[in-house]
Amino acid sequence: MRKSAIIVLSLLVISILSVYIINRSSLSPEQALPRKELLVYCGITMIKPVSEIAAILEEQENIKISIIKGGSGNLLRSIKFNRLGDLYLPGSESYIQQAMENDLIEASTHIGYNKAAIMVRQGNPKNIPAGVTTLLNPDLYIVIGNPDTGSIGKETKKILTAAGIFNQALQNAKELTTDSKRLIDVLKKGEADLVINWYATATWPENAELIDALPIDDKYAAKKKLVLGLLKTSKYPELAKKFMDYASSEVGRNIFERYGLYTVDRNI
Amino acid sequence: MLQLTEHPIQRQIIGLALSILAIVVVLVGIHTGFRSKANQIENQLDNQKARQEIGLSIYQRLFSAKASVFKLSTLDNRLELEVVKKRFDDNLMIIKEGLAILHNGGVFKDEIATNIPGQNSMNLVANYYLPESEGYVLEVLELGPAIHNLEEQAQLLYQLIKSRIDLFPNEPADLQVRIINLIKTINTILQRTQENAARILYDSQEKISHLSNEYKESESLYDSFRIPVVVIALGLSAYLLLVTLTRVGKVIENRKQAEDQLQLLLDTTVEGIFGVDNQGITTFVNPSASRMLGYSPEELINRGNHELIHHTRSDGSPYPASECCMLEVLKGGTVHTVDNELFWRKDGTSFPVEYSSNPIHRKGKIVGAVINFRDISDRKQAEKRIRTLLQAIEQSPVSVVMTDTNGNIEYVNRAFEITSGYEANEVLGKNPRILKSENTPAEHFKELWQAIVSGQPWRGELQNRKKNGDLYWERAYIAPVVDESGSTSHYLAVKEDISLQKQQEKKILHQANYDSLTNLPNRFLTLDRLSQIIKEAQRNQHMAAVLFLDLDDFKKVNDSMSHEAGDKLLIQAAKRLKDSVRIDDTVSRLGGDEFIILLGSLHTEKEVLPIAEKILNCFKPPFILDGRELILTASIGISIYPSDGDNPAELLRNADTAMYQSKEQGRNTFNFFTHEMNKGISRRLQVEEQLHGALERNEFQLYYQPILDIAKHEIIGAESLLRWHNPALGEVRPDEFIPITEQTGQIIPLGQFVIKQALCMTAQWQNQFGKPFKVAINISPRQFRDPNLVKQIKAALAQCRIPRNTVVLEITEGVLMSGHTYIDDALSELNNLGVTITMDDFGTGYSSLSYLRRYPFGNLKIDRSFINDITIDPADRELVNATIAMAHGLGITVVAEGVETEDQLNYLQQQDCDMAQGYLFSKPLPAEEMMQLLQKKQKLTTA
Repeated sequence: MRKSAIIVLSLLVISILSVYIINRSSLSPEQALPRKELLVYCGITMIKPVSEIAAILEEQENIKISIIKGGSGNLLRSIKFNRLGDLYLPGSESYIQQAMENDLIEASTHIGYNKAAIMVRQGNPKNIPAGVTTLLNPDLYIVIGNPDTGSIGKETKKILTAAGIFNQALQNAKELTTDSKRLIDVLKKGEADLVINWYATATWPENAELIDALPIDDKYAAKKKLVLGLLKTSKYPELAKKFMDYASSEVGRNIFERYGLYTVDRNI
Repeated sequence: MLQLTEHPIQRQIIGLALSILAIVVVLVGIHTGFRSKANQIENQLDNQKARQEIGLSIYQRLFSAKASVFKLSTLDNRLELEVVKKRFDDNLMIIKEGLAILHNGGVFKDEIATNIPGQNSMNLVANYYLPESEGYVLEVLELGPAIHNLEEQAQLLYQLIKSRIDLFPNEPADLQVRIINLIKTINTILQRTQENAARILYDSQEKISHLSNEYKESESLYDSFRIPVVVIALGLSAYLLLVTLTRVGKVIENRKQAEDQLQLLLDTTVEGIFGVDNQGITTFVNPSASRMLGYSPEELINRGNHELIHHTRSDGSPYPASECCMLEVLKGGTVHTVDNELFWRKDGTSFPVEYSSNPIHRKGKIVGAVINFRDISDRKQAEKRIRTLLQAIEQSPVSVVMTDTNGNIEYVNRAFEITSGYEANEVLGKNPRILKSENTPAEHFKELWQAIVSGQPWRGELQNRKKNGDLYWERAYIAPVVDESGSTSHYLAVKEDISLQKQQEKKILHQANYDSLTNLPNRFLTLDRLSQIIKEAQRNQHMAAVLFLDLDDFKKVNDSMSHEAGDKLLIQAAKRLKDSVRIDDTVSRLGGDEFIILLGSLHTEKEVLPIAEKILNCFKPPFILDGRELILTASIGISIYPSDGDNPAELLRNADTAMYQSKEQGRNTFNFFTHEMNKGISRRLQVEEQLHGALERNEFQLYYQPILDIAKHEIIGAESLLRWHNPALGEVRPDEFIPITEQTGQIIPLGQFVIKQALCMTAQWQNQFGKPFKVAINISPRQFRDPNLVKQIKAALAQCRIPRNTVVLEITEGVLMSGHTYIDDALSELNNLGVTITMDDFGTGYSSLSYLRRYPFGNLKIDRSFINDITIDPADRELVNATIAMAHGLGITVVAEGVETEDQLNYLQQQDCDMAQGYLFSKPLPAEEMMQLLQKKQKLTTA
């Protein structure tokens, strides 16, 4: 009888294992148990370090972190529209100010720096001189960021306004684009001769060999603080706070440094 | 479930059925698993297709919106503007709805009227299910605001274009610039939103492709699984069937074997076994039962079991079946094991049994019982024997204790309880060390444990403590108890209370070492202690002293008062001696009035002086005895180690010698031993030695000194005087050897010799010369202590046939002074015999006149010291005169001894002295010469 019992039990085990093996591959994300999820609105320039930090915290806290990337202004509009999300990292502190004015920010922390630069194609084939007045040259195909959609647009407007040439430069620009990624893209594709973009993007490996950065005088382009804001709409403020703490910690700072977003004027 | 049945064949079949069922379950499980997975993938595919369609719809609508914006820039009439705006708004509405479905799930409906050549308008119904775990749909979150922004911007554009149309042809130039910039912005937004919509399409496309592959893989896996699984399942089922059949066969075979074995067991077991049905009727019986009961199986089977073999109790009373323990199991199912009942044999005899009655259940009911039994006659006898032995142990006068190998008490008998005072329940489980007194040395216990642990018995004595704290001695025999395997299982202690014996031993030891009267160490212990003191002195280079003390004139106290008084005096003297010496010094009593004081650790002889003086001084205060005050002194002799000897005997002897010296020096003093003393002692020792056997060797001879009647000048008698001639010592003077014989007791036989010799010789002379010749015999005080003295004198008188009035016995005052009644009795008895009693040496002692009055003296002999000077010393003369006058006044005749001159004789004659003896008449003469003298019959005037 004992042997029969063993056989019966063995068969049951085999059947359970078989069903398990068959169904194992179907344990797709759709069927995984819901996890706590943070939604981060991240300016396009900071997407790399933020993704890295998110990956670390996803593992560490067993959570899911979704990142919406885009121009900081668009992101702010999305936050207002969606009324969802936990964290907001724009490329310019002024967006945080705006968000605060709209009563969207619960808390904020400083996590790095950003600085704008003039960027040309590698080796500066058109010998474009440094200096903001270059943007008035009608022979150059210039693309600048839309001040309404992204932080680089906003910063560009600020620089050009300080230089007293915003409207002329805007007229001279062949194209306005939403964010720093597109600014890089048009330069890399050879569509543009000159863009104003965040300096950090020029240091990234995929860009460094195709792009040269030209400095803009500090009196026009100051070093900008990167401030991470905790949104009042956050479903998990404690987890979001952990994200902030990690990003502002020594480890987080090193990650931002690695992507040229801390000591921003080192090589300009 | 496995215990549903106990029948092995049923078990096997159920097992087989379960196994096949399990195989079927496995097959169904696998099939269901595959189906479930396929369904899942199908559902996901449908969902992704819906998503794709919604994305496509949004994309198309955005495309259409883009066309509308392009159109807007060229419009110049309001109606057309409104139419284009309417189309633009419719597109945005459909896009927003699509986004809402993507965000929340639901049914999306769209009717697209495309104006793309070759494409017809289409109706779209997409059912999209948003999985819960999806979380944020980022495309929707990105597209939502963009569309909203687009809507705002489009509204602005619409207003601007509307203004342009209204102002045409005077529209301001910057309005056109603003419109162009706004269109740029809207196009940028549209571009971005289209990209996002395209991402939804791509993403869906990828997922659809992935899910399709997964579905195909699942189908292919199922195909590859199906045939082998079915084959294995069939094979396994066939195998299980085979196994089951084999086992069933084996079960049948085993059952037969078991039955055979059971029968063999029943046939060969020594226990009797029988079965009964529920009425108590025997159903089967094994050979042992049949043999033990003396019935054949046929005689037992189908008969009432109880009535046949169990009908009478052990006390002889009938045992009703209704009360039968053996059959009680049939009523209630209670299993009985009984060992105090009898089974009866066919021949009418019975035997004690132990049986157990076990019910037989069938289908939940008791259908009978199996009784197995055995003859326990031997066991009962053994139990009885054990009970007897236990009773013997329990009633044994000696304590018996049994412990386990850890020493924990398991049994004690009654004697233990009585001896130790502990109840058995107070000591069980405890260690016997609760009795330990701490007086028994640890080595003792070590030795004990070593012995018993090594398997040897131990004998010895232990001092233990009772519960009430009293100590007691036990003689113990402790031995390991060995079990059948040869290993120690218990320890047994048999103990006898020897406290009384110990007390007696102690008492005996004390008696052996101490003087019972004074409680001082006796001679034995003194010698032992002296040995120790000598050894210590040797070791430490010290000196030691032995003080030999003898109480002066103690005999007088003993004689004049009583022995009881003497004993009291000795006790007091002992106490004073103890108080006079150092605490470490030893005072002991040798015997009589002799004491020894041992002084150790001396550096000089002088250290003894103050102690000796202190001892003498302690006797100065009078002793109070029965209300009387007595003055007692002591003489002490001192010997010193190592100068006066190096062994106890020599030191004692020399101290004794020194003590005699003190006695001779007038007593109440002490003397250190000198080697000169030894010489005197050695003479005395020689005399003592030679005295031994001297009587037998006829070394003694009687001399006779004539006594004259002064008035008649004729010999009327003689005083017998003892002389001793020893071959070694020559002539020994009586005053040397008589005291020694008195001390050694030899005076008694010697006195008898003298009495007999003198009386017989005198009788012979009386017969020979026909005259009443008298003989005077000296009797020493020591002789009076011999109760046979009077008897012996009587016997001698009778033997020698001498007239009693011719016999004179001379005694000194010393005889009278003891005051003992036996002296009075002896004197009065002798007087009654008719012999004359003379007081000898009158004047030298107390010369108590009361003695003369009190005792029946016939004569009084004036001591020679008075006679010597009678002619020159008026005092002596007066004393002699008075004595003669007084004696005559009392009717007592007077004898003067030591008369050596005529003047003395004349004077005595003048004073009417009755008799005289002395060298003037004759020196003492041997018997032959005395006889010759008597033959001459001459009147003796001179020697």
